[in-house]
Amino acid sequence: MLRIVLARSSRAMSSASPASASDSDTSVRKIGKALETYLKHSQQHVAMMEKHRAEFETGRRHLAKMMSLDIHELDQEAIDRAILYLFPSGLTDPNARPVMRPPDEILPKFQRFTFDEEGKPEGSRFFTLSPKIYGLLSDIGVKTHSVMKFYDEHVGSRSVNRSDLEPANLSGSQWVTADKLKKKLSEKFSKELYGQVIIAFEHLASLPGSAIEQKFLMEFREPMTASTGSKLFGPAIPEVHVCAVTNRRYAEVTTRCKDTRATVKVTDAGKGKFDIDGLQLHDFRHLQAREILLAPMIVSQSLGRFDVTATTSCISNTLPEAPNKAPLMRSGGMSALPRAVRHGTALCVAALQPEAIEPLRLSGLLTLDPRKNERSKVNQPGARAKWIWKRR
Amino acid sequence: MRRVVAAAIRTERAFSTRFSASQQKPVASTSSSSSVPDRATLEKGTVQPTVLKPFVSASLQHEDLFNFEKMVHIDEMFKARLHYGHKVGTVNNNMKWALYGERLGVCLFDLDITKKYLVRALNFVAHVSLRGGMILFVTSNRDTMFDVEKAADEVGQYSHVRKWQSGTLTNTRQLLGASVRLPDAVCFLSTLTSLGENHPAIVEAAKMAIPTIGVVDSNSDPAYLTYLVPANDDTPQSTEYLLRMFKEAVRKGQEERKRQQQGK
Repeated sequence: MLRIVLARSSRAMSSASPASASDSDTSVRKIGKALETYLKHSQQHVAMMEKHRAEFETGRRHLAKMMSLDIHELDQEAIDRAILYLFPSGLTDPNARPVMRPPDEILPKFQRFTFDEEGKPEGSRFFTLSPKIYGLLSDIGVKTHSVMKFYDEHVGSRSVNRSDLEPANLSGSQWVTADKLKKKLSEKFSKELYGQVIIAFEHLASLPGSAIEQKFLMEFREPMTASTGSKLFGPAIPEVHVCAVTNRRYAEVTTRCKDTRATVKVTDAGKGKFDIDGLQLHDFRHLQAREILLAPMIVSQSLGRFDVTATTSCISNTLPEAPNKAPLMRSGGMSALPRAVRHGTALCVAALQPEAIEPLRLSGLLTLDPRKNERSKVNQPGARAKWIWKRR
Repeated sequence: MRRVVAAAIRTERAFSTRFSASQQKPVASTSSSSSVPDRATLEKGTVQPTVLKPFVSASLQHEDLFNFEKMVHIDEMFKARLHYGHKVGTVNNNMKWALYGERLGVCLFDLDITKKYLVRALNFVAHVSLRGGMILFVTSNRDTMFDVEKAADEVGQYSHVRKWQSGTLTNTRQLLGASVRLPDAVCFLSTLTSLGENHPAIVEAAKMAIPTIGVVDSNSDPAYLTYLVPANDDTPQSTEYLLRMFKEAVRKGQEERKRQQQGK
């Protein structure tokens, strides 16, 4: 091996000897050849972008003249509409249609690097092509090892705080999305790589003793409250209205449980009255029904503050085959009507008292109960029941 | 044809790094410019490279310029478990020259041979660092990847311990969008991937005529590697020892380079 290197070195030396008489400028230019090429390409790219921007502005002015519009009114939406009018296209692929957008959005971006005086790229992970995301992965790995070592050294010891030996507390927050992580790191990466980062984060957060890295983990977490308002299963939280006559706030919602549909109206500044189809709370003789009806008030700590008015109906009576059957008074069991009213009451209380949304959501009172009676099947006594097996 | 192209690329790359050495040693460059080898000597050098020795730089005449022979101790290598290979059934035929024998079904390296080749590799790393070269440390061992990254960062060099993107060295222009300077030497702390295949960077470095240093185990394939270090590449202790040696070599080269620049 050494002989080959010696031969190549000597050959290089022979070609280097005639240039040894040159001054240091030649040396600097030769050393930074890659850097010189990069700078030349960078200048070319900047010049090209300037030319394209000027052309875009000229085109915008011509387009304004053609469409008889003021140049200041011609924003990107107006440009898109004008191009659609001037060049109607039946192509089904949106990317194949004519477009006029700023060159910064259309032309490929130039990769920016930093070099030192010898033309070496900066960053020890430069040749991984994604140095920042891989650096984050390495940070997670190193912190995982340090957390494991910390726990092994201090488990069963009294010198360390007990809360430091707990896993990190991540409740009420979620991991940043891939787009936000790309913006945070100023680097592009694939979805698989993002998945690996999340797996590494989850592993670090699940370790005992990872509470000491709580600050590092929370840098990549964001609060969850802003995104849970519109993710309820079932009816959404209704809007609050003000009654013009009594000048009191109220909310109204329609929901269901099994075969019972309930339209509930909750009024603020009340006395805790219940009016369910003309019945008050004490008219429900079962304790279970009363507990079900009072649950939203107890969870939101607003007993005696809201008045509840509800009307219920049977869903089966509104089906297309209903006229052929005797109308039912009510169905769904004893707790279906209170539970339907409870769901509606909880949604209205959440609208009138926004700070109670989280306790109600955690209690499950804002979620629709989709269960209903399963229909009977042919060739068996009920929905799933079978006859008793007999050998012979 | 490939050898000619590789030699041309090697000449062009070595010229930029060799030129700085010439600038730092005016006397040596003056003497070497007056003794350019003629055509007959060059042709003879293709079959007998030692005849070209009088024409190379003075610092390259010394086999152990940085005195690594005294720094590498066999008992330290033994304590760092560099002598352990893999099981006898997985031995590579091209690695038998470095083995001392086997014990309990495990191959054992001859640490005398390992020391000789390690000193040679360390001298090469120090010379590359002396001339301001870029060294890329590569490994695919999950147990030692963070140590390799940390070592490369401490001495200001480069590391790659993740999944190797195909074309990183051969297709840099497309992947990075600009032509950047490639590493001048690649150091493989482990030459096999987790699937037991050769690391793809070995072939890419060979295609780009980049010299490579490989820590080869008994089941590795030493083809395409320029400098071999037959040693254990799986144990964290052995990798830590080798990284310490390579870091010391890079530091010595950088210190010598700084001294020469200040002297000039």
